[in-house]
Amino acid sequence: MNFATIGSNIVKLLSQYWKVFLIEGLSNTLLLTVIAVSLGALLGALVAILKMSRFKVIRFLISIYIEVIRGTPILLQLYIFVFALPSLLPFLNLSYFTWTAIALCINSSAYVSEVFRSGIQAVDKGQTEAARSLGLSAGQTMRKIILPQAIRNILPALGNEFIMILKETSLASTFFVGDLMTSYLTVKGATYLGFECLIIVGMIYLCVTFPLSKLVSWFEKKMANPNYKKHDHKRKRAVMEGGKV
Amino acid sequence: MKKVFAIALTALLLVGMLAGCSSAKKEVLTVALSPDFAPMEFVDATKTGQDKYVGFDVSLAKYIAEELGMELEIKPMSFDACQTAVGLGNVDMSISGFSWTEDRAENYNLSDYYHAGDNEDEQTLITLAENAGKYETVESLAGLKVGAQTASLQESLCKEQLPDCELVVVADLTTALMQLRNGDFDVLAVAKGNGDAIIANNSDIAPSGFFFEVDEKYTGNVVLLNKESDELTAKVNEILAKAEAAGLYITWYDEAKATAGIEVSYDDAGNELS
Repeated sequence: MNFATIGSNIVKLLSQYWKVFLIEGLSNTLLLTVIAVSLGALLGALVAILKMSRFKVIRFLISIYIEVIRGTPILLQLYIFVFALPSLLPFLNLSYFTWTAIALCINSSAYVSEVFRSGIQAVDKGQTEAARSLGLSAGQTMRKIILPQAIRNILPALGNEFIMILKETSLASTFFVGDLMTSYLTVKGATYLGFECLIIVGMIYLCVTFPLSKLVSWFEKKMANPNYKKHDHKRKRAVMEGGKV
Repeated sequence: MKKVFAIALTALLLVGMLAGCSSAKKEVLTVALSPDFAPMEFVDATKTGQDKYVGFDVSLAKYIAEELGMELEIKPMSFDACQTAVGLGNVDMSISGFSWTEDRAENYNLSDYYHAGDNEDEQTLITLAENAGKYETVESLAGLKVGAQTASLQESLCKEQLPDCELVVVADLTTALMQLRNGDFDVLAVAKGNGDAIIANNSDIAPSGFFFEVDEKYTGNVVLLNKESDELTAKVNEILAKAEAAGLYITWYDEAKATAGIEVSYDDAGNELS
């Protein structure tokens, strides 16, 4: 392996194909991720509510949904959504990009629903009991007592889900939907400089995921420590100066 | 809850109907290919939309669509997915540098052969530049490790003609190239067209000087069609014959090679330039 030529090849590729990587690839990857996680979160919330439903049949059906989606590889789900569903629903004339976005949404919804459910169930049972004994209804307890506390567990986990999905969108490149990994496939297909393309794509993924994961862990700390946000000047300064809290 | 569901369902149906209407204008020929295989099919990064897919097979697909009086839509996907898509009937055909194999002939309708210049006619070995020209004969290759893409024509050729070599199977050409540099094997079996494209972009890779003896039935590529589309297969065969008679293959191949940045090795009459 000759590292000197790899360096110059990377420069050459970037000067010639930077648009393919950064404008087309990165924007499509981010778009897919944002669609998958935001709609996935909405759907996931619905799934989580149904999972905690009073009716046994609904709980059973939802757990099948979650188990099937979490128990099969995402690549397989992509194949089904891109090839099988359009044949079953021929009146829906959607692009591969839309189908993969839907598949990622559904996939994300199963994971996110578990995030919601565990976030809600992690709130101490005593909170519910106390709220109910003070005369709040079940709905009020959920809205005013449980959810505000559950959010603390849920939001950082959602951030992690975003990072996970961001990386999983790479599998959508099987259908050349234009994401970063598709850029890798097309550029290496035209130039046969595979390793160099991989390095470039890897750097771009890292440039996005690293700040994001830092942001999530900062957020996680803040959520775990509600006092963090209050006007505690001493503490704020200590944090800004890099001291431990 | 029921109401919301009903509204959502109606909206979905409406969207579907609208989408259905817009697509009913001109008949579309959908062709699956895996655009990561210069010069057969690859992406020209300077263009966008359907125009960005270029290469020999794309020219062929355009020609077939034109002859059928249909509008071409290229569906890019991985090589594996191409076969799945044809099998499930999601696309009309796949033109993606397929070689004829017995398994494929059993499960798909395969067209007559078409010849993309020297891409399949000549099968060769490439190696590291420092070993250039060292392995020209079967004897000089004895005991060496040879790499070939899994389920490829090259794999069968290696088994057949290089029995004294140890065969290392690889997933794709890019990985194979890295493994060649790593020393996982000494030579890599490729179609000459792909080998030329690799060598044009990688100064540390060179031809070994060895050529396989390629049986007639392996020299062409075929179009992959669904088992049930006999009528379309017959039409495609007619169109292929017409293209061959008109001498279009060489033009397309030279164009593809020029776009891929590979030196053109044939003159207009189809003779190889040395």
